[in-house]
Amino acid sequence: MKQLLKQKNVLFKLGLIICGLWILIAIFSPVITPQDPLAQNVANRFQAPSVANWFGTDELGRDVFSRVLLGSRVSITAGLVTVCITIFLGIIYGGIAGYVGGVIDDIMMRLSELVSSFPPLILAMVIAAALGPSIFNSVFAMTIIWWPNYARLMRSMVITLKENEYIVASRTLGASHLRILIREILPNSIGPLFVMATLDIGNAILTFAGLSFLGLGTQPPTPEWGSMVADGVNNMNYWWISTFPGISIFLMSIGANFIGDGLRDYLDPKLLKE
Amino acid sequence: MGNMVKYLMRRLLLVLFLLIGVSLLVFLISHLVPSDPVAANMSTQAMSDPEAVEVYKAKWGLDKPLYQQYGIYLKNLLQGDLGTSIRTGNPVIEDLKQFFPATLELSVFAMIIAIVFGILFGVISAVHRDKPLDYIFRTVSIAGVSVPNFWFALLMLFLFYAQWGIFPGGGRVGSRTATPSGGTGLYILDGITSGNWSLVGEAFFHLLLPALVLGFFTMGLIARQTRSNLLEVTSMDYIRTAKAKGLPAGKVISRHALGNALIPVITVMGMGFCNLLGGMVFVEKIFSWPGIGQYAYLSATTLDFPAICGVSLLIAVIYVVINLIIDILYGVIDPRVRYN
Amino acid sequence: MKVWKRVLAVVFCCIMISGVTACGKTNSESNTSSNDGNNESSGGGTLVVGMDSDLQTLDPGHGYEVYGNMIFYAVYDNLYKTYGTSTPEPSLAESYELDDSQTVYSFKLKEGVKFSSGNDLTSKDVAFSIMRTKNLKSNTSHHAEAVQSVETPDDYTVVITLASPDASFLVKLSNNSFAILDSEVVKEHGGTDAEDAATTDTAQEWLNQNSAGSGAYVLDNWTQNVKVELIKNENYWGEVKNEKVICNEIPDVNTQIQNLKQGDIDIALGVSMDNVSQLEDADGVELLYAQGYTTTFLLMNQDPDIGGPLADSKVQEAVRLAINYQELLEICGENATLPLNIVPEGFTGALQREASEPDIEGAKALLTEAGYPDGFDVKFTVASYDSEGMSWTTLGQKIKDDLSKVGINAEIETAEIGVVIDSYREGKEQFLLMHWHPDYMDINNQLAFLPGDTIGERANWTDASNTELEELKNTVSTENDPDKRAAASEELQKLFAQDNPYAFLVTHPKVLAYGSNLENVDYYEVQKIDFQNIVIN
Repeated sequence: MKQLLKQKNVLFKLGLIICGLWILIAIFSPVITPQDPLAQNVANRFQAPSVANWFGTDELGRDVFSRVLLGSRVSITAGLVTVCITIFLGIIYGGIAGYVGGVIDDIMMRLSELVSSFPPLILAMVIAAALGPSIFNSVFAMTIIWWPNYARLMRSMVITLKENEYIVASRTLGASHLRILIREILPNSIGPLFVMATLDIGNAILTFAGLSFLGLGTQPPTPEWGSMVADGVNNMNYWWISTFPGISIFLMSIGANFIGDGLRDYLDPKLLKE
Repeated sequence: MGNMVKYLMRRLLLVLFLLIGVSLLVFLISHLVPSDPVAANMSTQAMSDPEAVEVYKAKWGLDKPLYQQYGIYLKNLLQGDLGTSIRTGNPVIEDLKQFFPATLELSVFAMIIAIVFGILFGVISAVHRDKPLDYIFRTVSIAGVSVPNFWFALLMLFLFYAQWGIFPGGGRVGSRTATPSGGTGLYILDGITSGNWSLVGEAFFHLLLPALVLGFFTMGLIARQTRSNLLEVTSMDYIRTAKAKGLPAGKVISRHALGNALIPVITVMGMGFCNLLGGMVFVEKIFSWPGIGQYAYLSATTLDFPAICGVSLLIAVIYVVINLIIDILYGVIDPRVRYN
Repeated sequence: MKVWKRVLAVVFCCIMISGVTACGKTNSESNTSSNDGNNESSGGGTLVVGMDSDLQTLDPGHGYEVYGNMIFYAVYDNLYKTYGTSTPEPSLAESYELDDSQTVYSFKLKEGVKFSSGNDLTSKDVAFSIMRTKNLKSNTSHHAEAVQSVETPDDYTVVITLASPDASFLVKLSNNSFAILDSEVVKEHGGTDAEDAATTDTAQEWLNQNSAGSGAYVLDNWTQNVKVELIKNENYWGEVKNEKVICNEIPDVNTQIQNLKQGDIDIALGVSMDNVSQLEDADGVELLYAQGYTTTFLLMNQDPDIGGPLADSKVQEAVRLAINYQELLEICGENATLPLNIVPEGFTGALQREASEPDIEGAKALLTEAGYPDGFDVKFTVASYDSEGMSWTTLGQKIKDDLSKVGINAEIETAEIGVVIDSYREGKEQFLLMHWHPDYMDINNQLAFLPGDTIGERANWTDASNTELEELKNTVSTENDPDKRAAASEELQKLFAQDNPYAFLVTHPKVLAYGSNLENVDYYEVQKIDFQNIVIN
């Protein structure tokens, strides 16, 4: 870890700072918002950014700055939760497929290819429309779309690793399959999986924002970056309503991507040396 | 050569499996998700006529066991009958024929832009690793994958059309131009084959901005993948040997490194193409592009199941075909794959 | 070095492309820009409209979409048409007579009118068109349900007999279900008005691409989801002030707005109160705020199993007291009105509500009486829909805020409009934001809110035992004397206000945005825009 931080990689550090800040904001947002993000004030609608409202007010007179801060909670949590669940599912599925191998592996991989052949956004839209728009359903839809990627990655690593000499040696010495999976294989595969995950967090937040933009995610009046952009799209001349949430999505996403990139740069040479 | 044929056969078999699998998935969704398949597949008006309902039930075998229904569904599918869209009232296959060319044109252009600039930026980044140029291009690429595309589309339209007047404001042809008829629906192709050069020009200018917006994300993906692969490859022994022999850097890259580095990039291109279809919904809406993305969105949100299934099937088929092409390319370029 | 050369080459190409593009744009667009003085070279006098329509068919016997009449009015004539008010104006009918039973109408047709095909328009065409609509059993046929028979004693007289008196009949005639088709041409293409037309008529496909009417324009081309193209009808009996109309489908309002500002379209139909702010200071753009007739209301389900607390009439009254009507007006802007209940301003006998402050104490008192001193939680269905000018999401959040002040916690659940409409029609919604858009400009349309009628059933309000209400309803729907009708309407509204499972919100204005180089632009509820009178400078 220390080695990681010592990297000359400016972008990586930048990414850490950005994401760190947002996560702190997300955790403490109910306390630090200067105004109530839900308080409507019809007389004060569409005010430009000013001392009273740093990011201006929206179509119901609510303070945009406070809403952006509170909105980080939903957006970031949704992204993180999605990625965590998909990693978990992917590890299990891909781990089993790769380790067991043979026909079972073939079948499992074909099934996962089948799932990934299905157009993701349509699946998400159908699930959301049929089950009703909600944060839970959107996250559900996104996990269904994404787990195959992690499964595939996990599987390919398991296949490579299981031929390794020390693993074969462990088997000879009588170690159980489970022990090998958890003790030997998992720690070595977690790296690339983690890289993929950080790169995907940005994507997850974007997709979730996109679904909310289409009206399929968060329910009003809960602030969320994607639906805030959608609200502001109709009043582009009151640019602050769309722009600040849009920039937030962008920053969080780019921060996660910088981290992922840095991690990958760090891990790659390590892998090559083996 | 024998290996190549075997490889192809295996891949084709897989494609067949996938296609059947997708049709089964689509069938299951349209029959298990809604509680009443008749209500989900027929418009309220059609449902009020008991005769029409009987005809519909007979045609799709709704009284029979599920597996027989699937058989009927497959049979109808192979005859090109995908049901009738509740929303538009047209046969789904006709709707798809109408909307698909627009999306095809747009995605091909977007891919060209993404590939050209992606590889270019990736190469520059790798060559000047950790120098300012690298940082700039990496930031641009990463920005490409970080920006919400609905917002980006609006921004681009605003800047390039409203503010600077460089590109036209949406639509496949000008707002005062009549819709071109006949042909394949791919306006540039139709224009070239019929010698209608003004159509070619107009369609091209209208394509540029949406293709740019759509391809931006994939460009980022390709650039990053190219960069990391090139870096990996250039640290390999045979590269160091070439350098040691005195080959100039440029030749090293273009002759030895790039070829090998590009192999994994081909996969990313495949992924990228499929990603395009995701951003399609927003871009088509904002640029008034009458394509599959819009159709999919409208079908999904009105729970128009025949159309949903039709579109899903179409897109899944495209995915499968693209993956097949990529696998074949892999087989041709990298002999190791064939022997696996 | 090679890499640098490559970079330069690509950059050079980009510059070339953008240069060519810019030139290309100037060359191709200048020929078709509408803001040039003389447009002869490019099809001068072409009106370009931007819209996001739901057009499914251009067959008037089937058409039931909001934007349908915009095209139907341009291409077909009716016996009567409405413009701006609820008073019908004669179009092809020069005069009419009504007999004492109030069920037999005799119309005298205008003579010398020709269809675009060159055929003369006579009474047989009127009879054919009406009976065809009725027998097609389509989405729009119910308007012609009450017509028992259509007789044609001579070429220019039509006698229509209704099953029972209907005070709104003349206005109904302005709907596309009564558009007059060229019977000979339609029959040539598979059309029929026989009783089995529902299964034997095959003219719809042809009618989707061609028009068989006597209106100001002829349908040149329709590409669904892309464009509708109309050209001037050379055989038209009236005046047409431009040559061609193109309606472009532009689904995104922001794109429409930008197209309008750049002059690529002349009229933007999708502009609403939510985004009009972008055009208020724009050069070369005019804004028209027309009165709207769409009623936006809250529906509370009378069935205790579905509606829960909201099935109680005291609670319903409490909800009505809690709403801040003054602020609703502010949100909806200029020309918004507050109807007392079912009759929008402009229809017979319409009564308005005072823009009052909410009565929080009164509402809380009623809730306590009903057994909810601490309020209650309720699911509030708000479809993510823009009701032709007003975003329901905005209104919904405002209502939620108002209700929270009296202790009612409304949890907003958004859904797609298609899904909501189905559930609403089955009477399964507990608490719903909904609208009612009139098919024709008459109060009879609005009687659907009454118990046992269309909307009443959707709120499970089936108790038709209030005889006074029923009598008034009867008078309004059949009384042909305008003063008596207006009086009955007012009484009806007052009686209705005492007890009903709705809360009527605000009638928002419609906004039309158009280029300042146009003249005679106006907005009408049924046909949206009257193309033929617009002058393009």
